[in-house]
Amino acid sequence: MIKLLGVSKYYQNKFDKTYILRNINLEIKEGEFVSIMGPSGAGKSTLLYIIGMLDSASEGEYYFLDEQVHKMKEKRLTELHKSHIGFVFQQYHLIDELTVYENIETPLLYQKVSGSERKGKVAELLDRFNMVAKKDLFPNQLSGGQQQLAAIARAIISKPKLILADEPTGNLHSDQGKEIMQLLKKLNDEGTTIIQVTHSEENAKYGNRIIKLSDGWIEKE
Amino acid sequence: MLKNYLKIAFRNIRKNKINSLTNILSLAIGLSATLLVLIYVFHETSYENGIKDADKIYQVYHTSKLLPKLAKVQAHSAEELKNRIPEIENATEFQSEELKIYKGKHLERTVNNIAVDNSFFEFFDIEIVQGDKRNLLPNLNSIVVTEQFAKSFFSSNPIGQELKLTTSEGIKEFIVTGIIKPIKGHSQIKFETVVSENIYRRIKESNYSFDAAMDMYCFVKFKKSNFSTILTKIREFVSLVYTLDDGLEMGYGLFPLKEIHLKSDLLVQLPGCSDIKYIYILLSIALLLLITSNSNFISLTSANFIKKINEVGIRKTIGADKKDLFTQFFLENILIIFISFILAFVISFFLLSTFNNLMQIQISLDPFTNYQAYIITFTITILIALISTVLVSRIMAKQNVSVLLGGKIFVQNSKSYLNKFLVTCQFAIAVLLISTTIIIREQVSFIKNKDLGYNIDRLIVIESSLKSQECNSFINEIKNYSGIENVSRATWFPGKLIGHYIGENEKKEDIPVHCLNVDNSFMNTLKIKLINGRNFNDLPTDTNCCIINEAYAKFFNINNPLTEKVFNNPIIGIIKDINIGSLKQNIEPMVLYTFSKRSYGASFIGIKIKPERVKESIEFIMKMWEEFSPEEPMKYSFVEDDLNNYYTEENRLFNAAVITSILSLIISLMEIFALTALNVEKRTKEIGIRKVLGASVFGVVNLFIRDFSKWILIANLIAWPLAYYFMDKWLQDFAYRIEISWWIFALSGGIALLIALVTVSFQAIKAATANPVESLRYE
Repeated sequence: MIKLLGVSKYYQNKFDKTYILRNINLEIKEGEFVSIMGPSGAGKSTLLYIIGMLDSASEGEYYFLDEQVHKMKEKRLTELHKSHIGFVFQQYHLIDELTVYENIETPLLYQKVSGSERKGKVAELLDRFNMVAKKDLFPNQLSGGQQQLAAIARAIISKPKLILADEPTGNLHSDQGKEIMQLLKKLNDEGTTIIQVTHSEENAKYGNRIIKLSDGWIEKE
Repeated sequence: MLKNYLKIAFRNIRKNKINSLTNILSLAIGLSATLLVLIYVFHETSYENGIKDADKIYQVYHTSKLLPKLAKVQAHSAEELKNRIPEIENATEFQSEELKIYKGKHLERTVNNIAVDNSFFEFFDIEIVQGDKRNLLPNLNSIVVTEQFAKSFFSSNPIGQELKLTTSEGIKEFIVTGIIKPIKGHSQIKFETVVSENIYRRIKESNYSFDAAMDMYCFVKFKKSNFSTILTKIREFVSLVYTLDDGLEMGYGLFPLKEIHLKSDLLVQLPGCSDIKYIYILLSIALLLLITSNSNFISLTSANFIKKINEVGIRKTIGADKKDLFTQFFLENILIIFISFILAFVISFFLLSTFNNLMQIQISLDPFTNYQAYIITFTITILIALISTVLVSRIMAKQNVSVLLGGKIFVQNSKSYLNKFLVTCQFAIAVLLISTTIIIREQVSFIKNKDLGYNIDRLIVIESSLKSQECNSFINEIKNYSGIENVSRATWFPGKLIGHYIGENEKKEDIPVHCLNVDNSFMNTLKIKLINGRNFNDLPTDTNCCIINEAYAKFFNINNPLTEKVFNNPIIGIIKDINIGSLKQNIEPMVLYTFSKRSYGASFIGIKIKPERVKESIEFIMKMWEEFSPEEPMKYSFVEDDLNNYYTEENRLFNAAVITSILSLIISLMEIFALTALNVEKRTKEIGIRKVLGASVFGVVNLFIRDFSKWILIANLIAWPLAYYFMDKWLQDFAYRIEISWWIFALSGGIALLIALVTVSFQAIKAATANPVESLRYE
């Protein structure tokens, strides 16, 4: 599903390049649950963003579902990104001005899904995540765990093939964290490919593959 | 989608109350100024658009060395011109006069009457509602009225009814023979009633001894032909008609009809002319306000945007593309602008009567008649929305989502440079306007307090239509009244027009000399100082003598005036120079004669009233006037008011300057208020850390003040030379003017700086005195 060949990422300064990622070669198959681990500044999040097409590689080739991402026009990129990839962040990143319901609904708006269909899909998810009572609350009225639940609901509303999670439990109590991890595991069992960045060995255990990054290099698998 | 955007936009406005409010309010002020000014401009430039072929119509004016550019010409000119010059398709002439309708002794109303020749109705394409189209004014006593006048004056069909009008030659009875419509749209040619010019000419021929009375407005319409060939032909014609004497060159000139309202510089032009200067002044005012309020809008929306970077990042990750985001920002801007637009309409509605008073105009806010102004204002608003959206979107598009999500954007610095640049511009405009206002005020008060060489306290002037002897007996009747100090008759009093005559001096040089007829008490009434010789008294030889002013002696190099003559008239006295017109004019040579010499114009009666007897004295004078002239009510004015009339323009300018500077200052303050609020919010953590490390309240406040002070000082440096340049130019119009001194700039800069500092400190102190623990806890 995902194939990175010699991917590097660097920032050009006046005289030299600062490398974030160096010569990454990586293949991830559909249905995998991959954990990317490593110390702070190792380039974990950057790798995740590149895979999620929110950032571009400076060098190398990237194939997503056998399409050449590195040669793609921006329009097709957004297209591919919004129909196949869902994001979950440590800081939840819900839109403060929107209610839970509206936050979950927004990706469907960008995919021009019709009104009645949107209503059905959001209602179904709210029901599944036990959040019906909270649908009209704003993010700052929710606990961290509930916010992350809403964020996951938003990430999967358009049934993406791939979920990218950047330390999804980093800001949560261990109980809440466990709940979120179990949810991700369940999604994986239902067929969604998941890539998470994590510091926690425990969380990494939910997955079936660990990639260790250090100084922008893949250390070992 | 749209609903989602609008919802967010509304919630944003609610969440950032200060920011949104200042934004909306300042934009509304700018838009309201734009709307009013545009309506004004379109109103003023639409004159004569309702007249068919207005481009081909020219006003014929009379010009001579004596009176350059006189809007009125001799009767019959139209007919003569049409007959002699084949390139002229049609020509017409009319005389305009305000006539009175009395009911018993009470003045019921005045009417704008014009006396026209036969071609008038056809020439101006006037729509005839009722009456014989071929012969609207069949008899000498026929009169045609406009629909509006007919409705307001007659209760039944006016045709055949009688209308009594008091003309300058007494009461005349007319029979209504037609109803017409006025000229379409706005026009300088205004009338309520129309009579035939023949009626006047008959009276004129019997009454006046002038060989060429210039009392007709004359217009010609060209066939498709060269302007200059026609002008040459008209000039040839003039040289045929007039016998030119003594090098007093006379001639005719042509002035385009469509330019009369704004650009006419002709004397005795049709009433109600404006000046294109006002259009320029108002347009620049609107432009300044629009720039200030728009830079406000742009800097506030972009500052606001920085707070929303995170949201942009989120939206990108959940599938928004560039177009989606652009649409969202555009809609949010449009929403704010739309609210401002509505508010602008409300503000304009309340300002309308003030504006109309100030500009002496009657405009309405009706969107249908003023659709152009609305369309332009609306287009401007859309453009502002577009510009600020593009600005914001460009920053946004360059950034990676990871940077956006972090909420820290490195363009922040350049962004705040934009803000500072805009703040500087706004304050430069504000300081420019404030110093302009102060300078205008200084000059106006300088003018009002200047010693003119005569005293005008409690001096009233009556326009006298009495014959010479009647006038003298009227003066004799009133001068002994206990409330009256002095009475004098003269052909000029301060505030009235004075004629100048070229060649009225021994050496016949081309220097204009003011001539007037006065009686013995003229100098006493005005308290004019005699510096040499004597005043007129009733000696029989005095009828041949004259009195000159210092300037006359100086201009013509007379060393020993009392031994010299002006045109064989011995000089018996020299008076101190007096300012005869507005202070825009220099003092010019002047000669005073008695009334027994040739007349230099219509006579006025000046009456100096004793202190605290003003009201009863005026009542007495009016009573006496009624005995002498029962048909014509007394027309009088205070000289002080007449003199003020010279400076209506300056007063208007001053009022406009005050309003504009206040508005621009308010808008600029709103901007720094909102920016400081944002700044304080952004730097809450920093303030907390600084306080924990031991910074004083002053130290923290200083953080915010230092920045703004710097930019306001720069703004001053930009504004001062500009203000000096423009105001020095303006002051050059005055023969007597103040010098622009440095304190004016220091004061205006000080005002701007002080108010700005208060505004900034208000919020900075609030932030500085807050408990640092509170601000740090959430970070």
